[in-house]
Amino acid sequence: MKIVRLTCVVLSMMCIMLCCSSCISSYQLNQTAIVQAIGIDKENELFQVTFQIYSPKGAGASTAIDTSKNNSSIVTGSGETLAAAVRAATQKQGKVIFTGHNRILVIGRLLAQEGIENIFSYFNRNALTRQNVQVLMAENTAEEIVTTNIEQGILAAETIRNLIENTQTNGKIYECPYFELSKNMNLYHGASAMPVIAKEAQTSSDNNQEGGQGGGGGDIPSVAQIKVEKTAIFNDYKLCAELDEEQTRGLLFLKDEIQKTILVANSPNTGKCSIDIYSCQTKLEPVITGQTLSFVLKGKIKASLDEVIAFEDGTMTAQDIVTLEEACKEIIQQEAQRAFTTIVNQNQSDILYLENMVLKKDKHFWEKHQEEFLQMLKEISLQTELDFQIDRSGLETNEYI
Amino acid sequence: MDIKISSAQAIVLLFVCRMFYTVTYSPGAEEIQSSAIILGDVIAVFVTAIILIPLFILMRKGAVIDIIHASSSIAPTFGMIVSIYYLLLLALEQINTVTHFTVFITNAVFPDISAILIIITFVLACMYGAYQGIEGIARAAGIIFVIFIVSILFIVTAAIPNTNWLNLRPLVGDYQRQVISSILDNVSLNIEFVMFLLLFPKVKGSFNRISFWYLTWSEIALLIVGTTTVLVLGEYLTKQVFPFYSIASIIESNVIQRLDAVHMALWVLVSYIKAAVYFYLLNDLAARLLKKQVRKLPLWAFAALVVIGSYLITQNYKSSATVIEKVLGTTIPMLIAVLVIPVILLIAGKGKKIHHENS
Repeated sequence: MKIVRLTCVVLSMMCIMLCCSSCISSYQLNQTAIVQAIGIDKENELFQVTFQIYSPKGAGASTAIDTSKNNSSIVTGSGETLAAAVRAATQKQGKVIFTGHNRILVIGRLLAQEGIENIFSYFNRNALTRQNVQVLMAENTAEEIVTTNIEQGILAAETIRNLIENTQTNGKIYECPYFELSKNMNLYHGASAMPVIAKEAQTSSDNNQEGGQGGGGGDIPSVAQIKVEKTAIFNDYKLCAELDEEQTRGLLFLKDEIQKTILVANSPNTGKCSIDIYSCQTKLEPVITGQTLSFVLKGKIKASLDEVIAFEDGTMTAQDIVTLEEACKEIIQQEAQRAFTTIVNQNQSDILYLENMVLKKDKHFWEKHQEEFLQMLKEISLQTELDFQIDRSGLETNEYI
Repeated sequence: MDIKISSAQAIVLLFVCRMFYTVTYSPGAEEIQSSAIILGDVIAVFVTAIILIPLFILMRKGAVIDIIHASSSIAPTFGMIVSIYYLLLLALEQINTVTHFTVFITNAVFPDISAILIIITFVLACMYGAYQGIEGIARAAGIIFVIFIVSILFIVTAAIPNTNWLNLRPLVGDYQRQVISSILDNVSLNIEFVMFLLLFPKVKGSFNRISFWYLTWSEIALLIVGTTTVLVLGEYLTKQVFPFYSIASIIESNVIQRLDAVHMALWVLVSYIKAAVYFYLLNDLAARLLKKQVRKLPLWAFAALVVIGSYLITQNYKSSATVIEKVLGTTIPMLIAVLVIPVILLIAGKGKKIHHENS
């Protein structure tokens, strides 16, 4: 009896080890194409998917990872659906596509203009989808971005992701993780925002970089092969507007997503000054007066004086600090206003969750205007009430202060 | 000598079993506001407590320890009917548990794997746990409880930067119906009281005190998980099959990037405990009904029943699962188990002395 029991236990253990440790339907690492970036375009009613997959030897390196090369290779596939396009890509190179480590998702401009509602089903149902993958829109085609060889880091996709994450801490670019995109599009009438990524035009230093190899002379290759300067605004799942850098920062102020940024303000006595915001808390609130709806941006912002480009005979007094504070408030107010006008008034895109704010503030007002709320956005105005303080001035002793 | 588990072990065991549904709560296809879910969860604890008042009276101060024995003392036929009823309810819930586990694993973890492989392996492992006895299961539950608390707190804390109070919307429209639906849903998922009722002869301590602490801690956990889910996802949670799992896949920390892996591991452990306890109770209850010679068969028989039932359901999940949900989700089976039968016993107890079970 003991032997029978022991045999059963051993057989069970073997069964569990085989069945529950991915030994069944498993893929070896060298049979797996680890995707780092995905680009989606649409051409002639077909989805075209471009994968940047991790390939340590794919760039001609003799060692496992050559840090001087971009350790990736490109695979494309097209099909009537995204799943079909992915299968086509698998067919071309034989490895199983693994998207569990994907870093960025790039959407082509044409697809964005046509509407992106059809891409969510594939990614939402796929168990491998990383919910916090960064989503971007390409200035032209997604393929152009995904295939760009960036001379920094070991993986182009990693470099782009770092770029996105770093630019937000500088208050330049709106970050759009996939789950935010999916959630916002689903809940707010197809509204969302995502950064626009473009390929930098080739410069002479880039052209000379090949001749510069081996230390014989020539220019250092530029790392700025891509740029992220604009933000795409979506409404009803379609691209409807693009914000420039200032408007993007205005959007970040409106959404209370500024962590750090630099404002360049003028003081009549001192000229241009760099004001570094180190603490920023803003809140957008609805103001309901009768049947009129407007919004006010309230904020408490603290900054330090980073740089003073003084005129030759310029002096800086306490009044100049106050002037700079007012100038900064004016800058923020203008940027927020421009962003608000473009997003809300001109395109009725509810990426600021205005409807939720109104619902929380006054349920009856919302119920009364629920059907026409988006139309109301055309006429809504924005005011600002900002408390801006410059309370630090760095380590330099400034004889003018 | 019968082995008994302590009050603390019983509370932990009940709590771990309850978490099976808590962390994989799915709103289904029903249109329901997220705030209605939270409000329903809060009210449900009081509704549950009210429903259980007859049971608390029946079990107070050790008046009744074994409900099967108490039922049999009224009339042997009545005892038989009650036993078979509890047996069927446990079997149905066990099939539901294994099916739920399989659906999660085959949708979120191994999309390409055969369901029967998952079912058989899982059932075999749980049978072994049941074979080890209630003390072994309770000790394992104690370890898993600690892991669970730490993991949930970790996930919830990591989710804080992604929360937005705007996602907690006021209730609008036909919210009363939705709140009632949420209450009924929550009450029906508290099937652990049925389990506890049958397990109580093997527990040291007061039924009422254990029930109080179990209700309290499970509702606190439910509110923490539910509120976090709502604050992160808002109304979007109604579009997710497993909302809390979605949150775990969204958030990342410096240490772990895919917290959904933590969630998965956690849920597998919780599922194991729940299924093992149910197998133990099924075996125990069946053994009391059957003749001595065939008492070793029930566990294998129930395992086969659960495997076949779960497999058939997963092959035809949409229509089959609806049937099970309609049976268990109406709260009627649970109400019969924890309200009607105790009321009958209370009424019968007025004229008849209810004997204590020998310890």
